[in-house]
Amino acid sequence: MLDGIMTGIATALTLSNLSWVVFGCIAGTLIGMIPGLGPISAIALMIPISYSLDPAGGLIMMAGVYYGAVFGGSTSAILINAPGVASTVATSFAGYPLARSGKAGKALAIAAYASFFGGTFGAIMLLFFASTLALFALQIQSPEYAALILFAMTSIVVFAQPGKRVPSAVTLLLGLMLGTVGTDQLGGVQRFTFNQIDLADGIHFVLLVMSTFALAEAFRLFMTQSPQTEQKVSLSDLKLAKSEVRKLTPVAGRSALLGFFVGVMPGAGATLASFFAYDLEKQIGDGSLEAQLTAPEAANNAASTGSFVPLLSLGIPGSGTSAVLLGVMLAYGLQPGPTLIVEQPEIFWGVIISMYVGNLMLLLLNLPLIPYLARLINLPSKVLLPLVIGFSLIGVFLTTFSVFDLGLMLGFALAAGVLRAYGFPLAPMLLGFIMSGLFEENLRRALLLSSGELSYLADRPITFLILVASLLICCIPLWNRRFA
Amino acid sequence: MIYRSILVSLFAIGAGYILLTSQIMLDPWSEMDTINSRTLPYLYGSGLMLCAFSLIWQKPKEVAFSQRLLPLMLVCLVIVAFIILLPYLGLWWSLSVLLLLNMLVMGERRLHILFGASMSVPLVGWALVERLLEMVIPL
Repeated sequence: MLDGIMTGIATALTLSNLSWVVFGCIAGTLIGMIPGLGPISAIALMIPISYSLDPAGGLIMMAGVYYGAVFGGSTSAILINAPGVASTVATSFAGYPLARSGKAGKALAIAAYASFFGGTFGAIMLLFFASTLALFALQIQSPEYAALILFAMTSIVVFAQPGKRVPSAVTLLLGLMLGTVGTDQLGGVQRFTFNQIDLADGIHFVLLVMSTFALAEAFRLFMTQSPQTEQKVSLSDLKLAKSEVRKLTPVAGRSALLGFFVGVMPGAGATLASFFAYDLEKQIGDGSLEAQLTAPEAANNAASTGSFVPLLSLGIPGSGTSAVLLGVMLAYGLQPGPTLIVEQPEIFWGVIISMYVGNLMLLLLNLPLIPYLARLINLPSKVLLPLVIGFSLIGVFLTTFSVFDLGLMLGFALAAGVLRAYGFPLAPMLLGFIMSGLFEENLRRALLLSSGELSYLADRPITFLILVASLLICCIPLWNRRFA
Repeated sequence: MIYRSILVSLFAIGAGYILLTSQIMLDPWSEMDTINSRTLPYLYGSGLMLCAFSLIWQKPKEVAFSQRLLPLMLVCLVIVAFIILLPYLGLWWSLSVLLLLNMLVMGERRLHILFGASMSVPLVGWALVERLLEMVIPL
């Protein structure tokens, strides 16, 4: 392995490959900041450039683009509450309030450090345990996924603030219902499309997130005319105090570990990881916004790296982004899988080492930019709010190219504004929407494998454990009430 | 009153959703499945009706509507105008109109800000999206 690591270092640290990592990080960050364009779009847009490079250089640049886009997405989530991709939704829960309270620079800095920590942790884990973890990933199949998703949905309702559990269940169900719109992936039938061709592919995630978060938030700010907090950020503000580092390091550590393992499972990905980490931090953490921002950021970056485990070791793409990367590798004539490490060690190890280098570069490049980015919120609301509205609409249009979707977006934003005003939390709606298709697909696939026997779920030990855990957490509110 | 209307709407959405679920066409094999295209939607719709019903006893949150309801409607109208103009003016010119009108509605009166922001943002967007990234916008 040591030989492999040395080969990887030699490949990743050549001047040309280093330049491509820097280019990838910058391009990825800029593209990721545009609402609606996430890591998949960023990588897809860079494919023509990668073809002009050798395989190692091309893949190393793509790793930089990937990390850059994930970080860029977090920036728009924190500054204007517009998470352009699902994996940064949980970042906006704590990041945006922190930015609104006059700590935009600090929020961005924490996101950058947590991303670096998560990405580095993931790269180290990948370095040492890629082959072992790939075998573990194969044990996680449809029944386990269905149980995991059920667990995530149960916990978001159970762990909601007291008095908000039923409203959380309402919005979760609304999200699940919206997720069923479109063509049923397994049955092939159209559901709730009202014969509209625009709804045949379902409602796009970016549409829902932009309407319920960015646009609805712009409307709310306009209605309330809440006073703006002046953001004064200098480079020295980006340094965290020792006490903060002591407080946030364990948070980043446990979230990165959780995120990495979730990311290793094919199909789970950074979104589920960030929600799990955020939920966990809300339950066991100190309740500070800083910790609740660190958790999803560390988790989604570690999960992004984790998704490379099945790709590099087995040739199975673990997420949409790694599926695009698989396409790039195949176009280079590379066959990812167990043979890659033997036949082309410089590529296998080079990509892994470049992930670490990419993370470091991302941190070095983005930290100096934070004071300038944070000033965006200092714009007067009569200029900032039209810009947020414009960015949200553009984000959705560039994703779906559908005028119909823009009308739908306005309707959703107004409905979300009313629901929010009356105390219905909107985060469960997004979780429900994201999980709806995954849950149904995995549950039905599991039942197809078992010829429709529901007891099959309980026969699998991991599934059984997760289902028991879901049942147990339902008892927590009763326990709390009894001993309060 | 509004809170109750929301709950009634949620209940109605659940009921309507169940009605639409019952109209989903299934082939004979899928109908025999333990979980088919209708099963989970039935559960979701019933769950929503149940939750909305259970909230009737909860004390509604007091919401004071601000004086800015009319300007908000104007902002929505500007967005509708943007959607209508999109196929005729193209993305970037429509965006320019949207930004200009929204800034005016929200109270911005300085000409250099009005024209500067509404021209520069679409210009940067055009350069980045259509020139640098070479994306084709199908309008």
